[in-house]
Amino acid sequence: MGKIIHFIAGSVQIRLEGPFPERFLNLCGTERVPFWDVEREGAQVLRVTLPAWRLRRARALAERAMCRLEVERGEGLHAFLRRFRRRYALAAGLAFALFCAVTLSQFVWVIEVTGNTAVSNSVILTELESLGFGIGSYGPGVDCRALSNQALLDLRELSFLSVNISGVYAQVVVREAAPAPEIESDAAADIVAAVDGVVVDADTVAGRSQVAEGQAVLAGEILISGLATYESGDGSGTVLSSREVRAEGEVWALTNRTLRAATPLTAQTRTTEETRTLYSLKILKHPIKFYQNSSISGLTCGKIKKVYALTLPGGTVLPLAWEVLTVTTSESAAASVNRASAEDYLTGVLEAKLSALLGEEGQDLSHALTFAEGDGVLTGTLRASCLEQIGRTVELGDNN
Amino acid sequence: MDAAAEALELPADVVAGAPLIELVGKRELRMENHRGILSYDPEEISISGGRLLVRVRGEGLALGAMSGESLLITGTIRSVELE
Repeated sequence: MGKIIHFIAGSVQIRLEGPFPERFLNLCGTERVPFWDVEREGAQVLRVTLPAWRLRRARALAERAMCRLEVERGEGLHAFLRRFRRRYALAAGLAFALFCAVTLSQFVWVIEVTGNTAVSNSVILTELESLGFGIGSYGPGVDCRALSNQALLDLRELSFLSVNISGVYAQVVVREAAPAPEIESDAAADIVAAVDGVVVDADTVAGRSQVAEGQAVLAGEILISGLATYESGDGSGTVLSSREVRAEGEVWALTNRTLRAATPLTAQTRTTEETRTLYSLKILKHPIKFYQNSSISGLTCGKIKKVYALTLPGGTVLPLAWEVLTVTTSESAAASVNRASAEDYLTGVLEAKLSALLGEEGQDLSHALTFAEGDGVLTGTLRASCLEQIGRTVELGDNN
Repeated sequence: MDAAAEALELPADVVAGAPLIELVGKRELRMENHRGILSYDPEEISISGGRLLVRVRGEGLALGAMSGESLLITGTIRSVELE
């Protein structure tokens, strides 16, 4: 520690020449100018070391003692810096580095989000950014509490959000809100037919069945009514009371499905292609482009940007990135599509569509595909006989 | 003043500012109430003590520290003479 203090304070070795140099030592003692390493060089010459900051005072004392003072060498920080006094670029660089260290440390450079699983970092960071907080924000100017409260109001998926800034590092701690439980509606409802069909099985759990096996039904027809009645037990059919319930049950029916899909018989293909690679350096959110123009018009083009962000060991991404933009331009021309390929494509599309309509339990009993060509478009039609559950719940008073 | 100090049973250096010399082995000499250095040499340092002169002789003598009232001499001290 002493060495460090000694280095910072610095020292100078001086040479004193005069008729009575000891007087200089006496004056130093009186004036409390510390000194050490006193050496006698000659009858009228002394060599003394003293603190650099007392040199000016020592010069005055040497004058009073009628001695000539010469500085022989200096040690410590002041001597070290003195070596650079004519190296202006270095001094400017040092000053700039100090300025950066002092100034830039006031800004937020790293933001880390913790505690989130369902809500992504980008959602949280985008929200904070819309509120004016992001990489490059002036740390002392951020009202963390107001920011947290506002972000929490906007992000309903979160139950807690806290922004803590420590120097250039900001930590966003979040807790996600528990999802609301699914509440099954108990509103009165009918079960109606989603499509036309012939009922093969009707299984009523709640409500009053309106159909029988073998009965043909039209789309929208009530299959299980939500109006439950209570009849007298004497067989007369007299309705004693009725109440609305939520109809529940399954109605399976044979249905005929007709699905259509179309695809053009011509497609655009690339004839010539040109690729350009453009580079830019992104500091914070400001790109420094090393190219003039990346825009393209009148041609088919594609842009692929690869971002190489400076990342610290541990995964912290710094706001400095090297971006490589690959621009591909091409001219396109119409080319005819093979009909067999188009039919295969349409077959796949229609079968997938049917499968989605029937669900896991529905069955495709048989189907037939036909294709028709017109105006450069191939249209496929799928007609299928299916066994499926056609009941759809419609709440009473809801016409949908 | 020395007589007054003796009469009052007070230390002479306190009352009259008389020099106080402290020798630590033969390597260090501390002196308080000095009046300045008269000559300086690695083999001989002469110090004014007001009405007396202190002459320190030895080898490799050096002025370790010095203030208006006290000083420290280091080195191998062979003799201390008072004149």
